[in-house]
Amino acid sequence: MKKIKKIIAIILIIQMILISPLSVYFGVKNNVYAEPFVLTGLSMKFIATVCASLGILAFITENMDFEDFYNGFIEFVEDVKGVLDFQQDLISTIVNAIITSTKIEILTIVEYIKEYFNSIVEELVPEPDIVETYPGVKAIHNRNYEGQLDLIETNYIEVEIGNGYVLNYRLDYQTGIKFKFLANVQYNGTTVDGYSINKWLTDYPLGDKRTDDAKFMSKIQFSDESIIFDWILVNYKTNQMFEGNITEEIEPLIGLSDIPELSTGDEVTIPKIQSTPISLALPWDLDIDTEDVLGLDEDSFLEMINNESLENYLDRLLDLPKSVTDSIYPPDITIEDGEISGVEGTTWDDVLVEGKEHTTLLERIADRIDIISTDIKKFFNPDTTPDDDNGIDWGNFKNFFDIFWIFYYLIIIAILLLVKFLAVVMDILSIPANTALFDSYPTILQGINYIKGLKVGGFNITLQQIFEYMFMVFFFIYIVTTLQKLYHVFTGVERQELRHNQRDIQIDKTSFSNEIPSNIYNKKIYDNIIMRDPKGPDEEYMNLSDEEKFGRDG
Amino acid sequence: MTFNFLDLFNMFLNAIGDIIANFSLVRAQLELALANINTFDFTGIITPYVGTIRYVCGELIFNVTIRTIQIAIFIGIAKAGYQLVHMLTSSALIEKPMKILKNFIGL
Repeated sequence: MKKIKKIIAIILIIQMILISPLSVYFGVKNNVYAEPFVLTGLSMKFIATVCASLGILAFITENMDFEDFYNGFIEFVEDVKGVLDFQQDLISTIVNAIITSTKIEILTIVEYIKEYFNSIVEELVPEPDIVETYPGVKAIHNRNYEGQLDLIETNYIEVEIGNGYVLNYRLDYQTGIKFKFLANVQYNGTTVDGYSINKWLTDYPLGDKRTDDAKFMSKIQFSDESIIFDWILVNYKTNQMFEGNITEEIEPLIGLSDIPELSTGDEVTIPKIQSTPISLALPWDLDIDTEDVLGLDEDSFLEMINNESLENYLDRLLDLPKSVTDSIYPPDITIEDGEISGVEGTTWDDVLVEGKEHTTLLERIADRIDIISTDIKKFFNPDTTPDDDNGIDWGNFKNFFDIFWIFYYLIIIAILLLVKFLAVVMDILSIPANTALFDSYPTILQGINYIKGLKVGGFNITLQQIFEYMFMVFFFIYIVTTLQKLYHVFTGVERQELRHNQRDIQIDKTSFSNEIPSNIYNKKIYDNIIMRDPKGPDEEYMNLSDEEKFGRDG
Repeated sequence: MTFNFLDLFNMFLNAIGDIIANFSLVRAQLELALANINTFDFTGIITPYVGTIRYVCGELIFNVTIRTIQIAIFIGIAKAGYQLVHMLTSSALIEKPMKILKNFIGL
């Protein structure tokens, strides 16, 4: 029995030492003192939600590989399952994560996904045209080249005009001096007479710069009346930019006038994600404050959460990446079953190809999120509830052990009150002076102000200052007295006794010849005084006889 | 009115059961009190009183007094802590656990 008592005492002491002061010190504001074993379901939900958030975040920040992300997430969940015995330690973190951090994580995820898809869209969106499309144009071709100048493609590029006509053009660098622009129009494979161009790009002297890194952009436009070639060349090495224009007037050809002009509406551009707002209007918070959670038992907490629909919240959280990816496509482009619609023209073939790849990517993301979602739902609603329905019904007796908690709480409350008191004492100087108590009694306030400002006649000093000086004088006297007492305590001499001795010695030195003790009792006292003289006994005096010492009465 | 023994025993058990059931009620109340203490704004309550005292007596006297009280409380706590530690370390009850602890950490 003694051993059991000791064990219980040790457990209680360890709990007190480990939990209470540390918790108070770190300002833990939750029901950390609540019973530690009944929060299984609730904690599981919390942990799973945090897992979901952290898992996605980990994916965002660390893993671009979906397998790694998924495996990491599952491992994390398994790890957390393993430490569920320490729910009490985790609960504050979890509550905070739910209430405050999750929203930040969600926003982080959204920002990341925006950035990621912006980079994709930047690949998809071609460079803006160097010049606008002129009216009456029936064929256009843009060209962008980036790299070493002497490696630029010099083969003919074919641009379909229609009705059997093809526009061919190319660049060539001849004799290492300049670029040459060559173009012709062919009808059924034969060059049409008078439709051949062979001109220098005079504005850019190539010279020894043929190995420089550069960017070359051009746009060729064909109409019934002219072939126009606009170009821009940026030399990255010399940081110079050149531009030019070659215009060749032509006669209208039979069969070309039937071809309709290109309209500007055919040039589809994909707007960037920044211009597409992502709707985050959904209530991502549970709309509960940490303060509201305090002191609630599990049932009332669950009731509160149910009212705010935790399940919906979790669904929204799990759907987040999907909804974000759904919403980042520009409004005029739709993607269904891997097909992109809303993009017109052959110019966008590459867009279609890349778009399909990215659609597959999105589908993979969505699949993974679905798997995670299913796992988490299983996690929330396990088929078997652990130990809740089994075992013996102990009735009211199971409450018997609450008595230990009652004692425990009383101790904790006492400690907490002490800590709060100290906090108030330390905080009291920060309270500003105010007149709150005199709000209803303005005349008293006037009186106080009058007295405080009252100047003593003849002196340039107020009554308030006089009080303050008096206070300080008495305060210093008090301090000095206290220090004196402390000193005497330290040296082990009673102050009263010391003063008494000093007085006696004074009497002895000043009245030795006049006041002679008249009996043996006085003699003893006198000897005693002499012996206790701090300077030591007077040897000459001590050698005298009593008669000599005390005269005739000795 | 007559009771047989089993009835009396039953009544006794019921009474015990009621008392025990109240344990959890008391416990819940204490938990609530604990949470309330945690969140209660003690400084806010004393603000008008302390502020008025500060206004009336002036900054100098208030500051000196409060600092003195703070220092006195600090010294008191230090002394109490020292005595508590002294009591604990010199107590016969703690001797054996201390020995175990010392052995454990290898002192």
